[in-house]
Amino acid sequence: MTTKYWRNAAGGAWATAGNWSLSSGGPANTTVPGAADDVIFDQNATYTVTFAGPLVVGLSISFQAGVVTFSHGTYNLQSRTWNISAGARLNHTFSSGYVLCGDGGSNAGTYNNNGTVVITATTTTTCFMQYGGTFNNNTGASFSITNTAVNGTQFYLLAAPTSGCDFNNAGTFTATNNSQTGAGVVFLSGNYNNTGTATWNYPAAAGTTGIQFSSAKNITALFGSSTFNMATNLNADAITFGSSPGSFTITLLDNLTITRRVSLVFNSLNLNGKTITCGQFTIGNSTGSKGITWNGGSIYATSSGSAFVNNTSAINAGTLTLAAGTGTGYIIFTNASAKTLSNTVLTWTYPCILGNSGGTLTVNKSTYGGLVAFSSGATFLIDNSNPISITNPGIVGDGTSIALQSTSASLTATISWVGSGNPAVNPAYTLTRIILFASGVYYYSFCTGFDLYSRYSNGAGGTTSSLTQTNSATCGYVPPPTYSVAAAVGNIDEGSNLTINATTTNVADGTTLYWTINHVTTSDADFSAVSGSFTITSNTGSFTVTPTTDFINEGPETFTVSIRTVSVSGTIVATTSSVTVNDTSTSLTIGFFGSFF
Amino acid sequence: MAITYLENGDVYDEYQMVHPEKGIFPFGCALVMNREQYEALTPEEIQKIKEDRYYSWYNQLMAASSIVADNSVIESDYVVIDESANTEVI
Repeated sequence: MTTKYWRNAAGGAWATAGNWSLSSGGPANTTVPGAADDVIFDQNATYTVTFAGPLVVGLSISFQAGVVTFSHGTYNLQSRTWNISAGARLNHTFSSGYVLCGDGGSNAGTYNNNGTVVITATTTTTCFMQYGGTFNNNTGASFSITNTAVNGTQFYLLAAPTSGCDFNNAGTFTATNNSQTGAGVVFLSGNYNNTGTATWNYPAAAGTTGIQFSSAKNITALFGSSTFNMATNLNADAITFGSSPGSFTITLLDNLTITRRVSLVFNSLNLNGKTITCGQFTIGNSTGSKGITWNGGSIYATSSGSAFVNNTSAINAGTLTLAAGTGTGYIIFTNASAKTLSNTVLTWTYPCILGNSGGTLTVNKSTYGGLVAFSSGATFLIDNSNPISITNPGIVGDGTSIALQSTSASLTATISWVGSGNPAVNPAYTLTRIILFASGVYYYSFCTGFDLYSRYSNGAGGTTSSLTQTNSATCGYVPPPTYSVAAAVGNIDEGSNLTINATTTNVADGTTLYWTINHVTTSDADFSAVSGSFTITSNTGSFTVTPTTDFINEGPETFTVSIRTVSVSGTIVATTSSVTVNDTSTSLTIGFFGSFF
Repeated sequence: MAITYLENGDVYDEYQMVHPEKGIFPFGCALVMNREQYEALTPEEIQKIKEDRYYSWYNQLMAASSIVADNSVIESDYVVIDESANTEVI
């Protein structure tokens, strides 16, 4: 093994022996570097190196200074190790071909960038680092890659179909893909570990797929501080997980937030407790295994319209696996306008909670392990041509309603709660409605608080008159009433009227409440009446209590007033503070008008 | 949630949050940073970073929730890497 130095600061052909030396700045050598040599570029100059054919350029190739442009033409390069020092810059310009990291066989390579690497591709099919290994864009380093071919079809960045290529970015990374016609960057076949800054630019408005994870092994994805600058186009994926057939798992180590579509085509996606936020999420229809395991993770679909689409067809039914894993997973729809979860062919069970934070969500051909509506006004409409079953839904949200609709009279729509703990999240919300309806046969449910337990079919029990016009039944949750009562003043003279004011919440207008006197030191004889009733209107009501005038000097006396439901002997729901009766009695004085004789 | 270490030694501080006022919008995340940098932070600073990330995501979520998806159901276009096209032996 020898170390050979590039000695021509004006640039030239790799294949010219005179461009090489056995020492830095030394005399020309008679041979070009071979597969067993190390190569160093240390000229502090700007120049271009050209290639005339496929080359094995050395065991290692290092760039220690200057700006070197490798004009690859139609040829390919291979070296086990690439090193770019801080301050050095290497430009790769491709019209086709690829750079191999490793030896293309069993020895994976390493690409270490501590300086600047700029890749510009102008062709339809270009590949960089096809044969795997590891690309380290280290702290302080810059790595950018641009596909300038507007009509490009494929551009592989770190694709290694057989061995996988890992990408560790701790520096600055920018990828720009101008293709408008075909697949974009097939990005990753190995682990993506971004602890630096990554920017993905996809300016084309149509037809461009962004990043494709084409797994060649089980991989992890740490998106970190990744920015996605893309046209708002949901006809093409921004990110495709599993773009090549396989049985590998892509595990998220961090969240992904993007406004465009995210798809799963092949392989398995392990959300791993992380969050994917995207405009639209689709599950592809291609023949091949695919799956999602939530493991406590979430998919947020932010668009209206077809926000979540499961295309899996009957022929591919056995290839899709939807698994809960550990923890509670979610699919959550956030758009305030109408949107759908579409299962285009088959009925699927989603082993997660389905959330809707507003607007109407229509779902078809689905069963769920959980169902939750988040925000005020959110509505689910589940339109199903098959029996629907929802168990243990946690219903949260003021004004939330769920409508289950079956299109055939022979199909049932059922919903059931188990236990008394639902909704688990926040029972303080009010007026949750559950509407179940089916053509011809009405199933409806009633609530006891939030505990929905039973259903009745039309004619089999329960009141159905309310169903006649709407073909639906509404289960209204009436929140528990509250009561308070207070005397208008804290003391009262005998013979005067004392106004007692009651204030309630969630008590219907016209409800009769009852009041009773509680004697502390008073007695029944001290009042004109010791009980009565009054009516609630707009959650208020009042009545008067009148201590009677007597002629007995009793001193001040005290009492309280309670209000009750049902009757004067009903449940006490509120009691006033103590009220004092001022003793205003006029003493009876017996005069002596006679004389003693 | 647990703090673990990645193969490169970076701290991986995994956490989950929901909106503190709304009690909804679950969000799982992890802070990943150099161990020395992480250990130089106070617990309050770490919590602030976590909350900042949450609100950054939440604001993006709210901002993104006005996009209309194309209603046509389209199979994702994807690439099967044509390995044979690039296996020129050199």
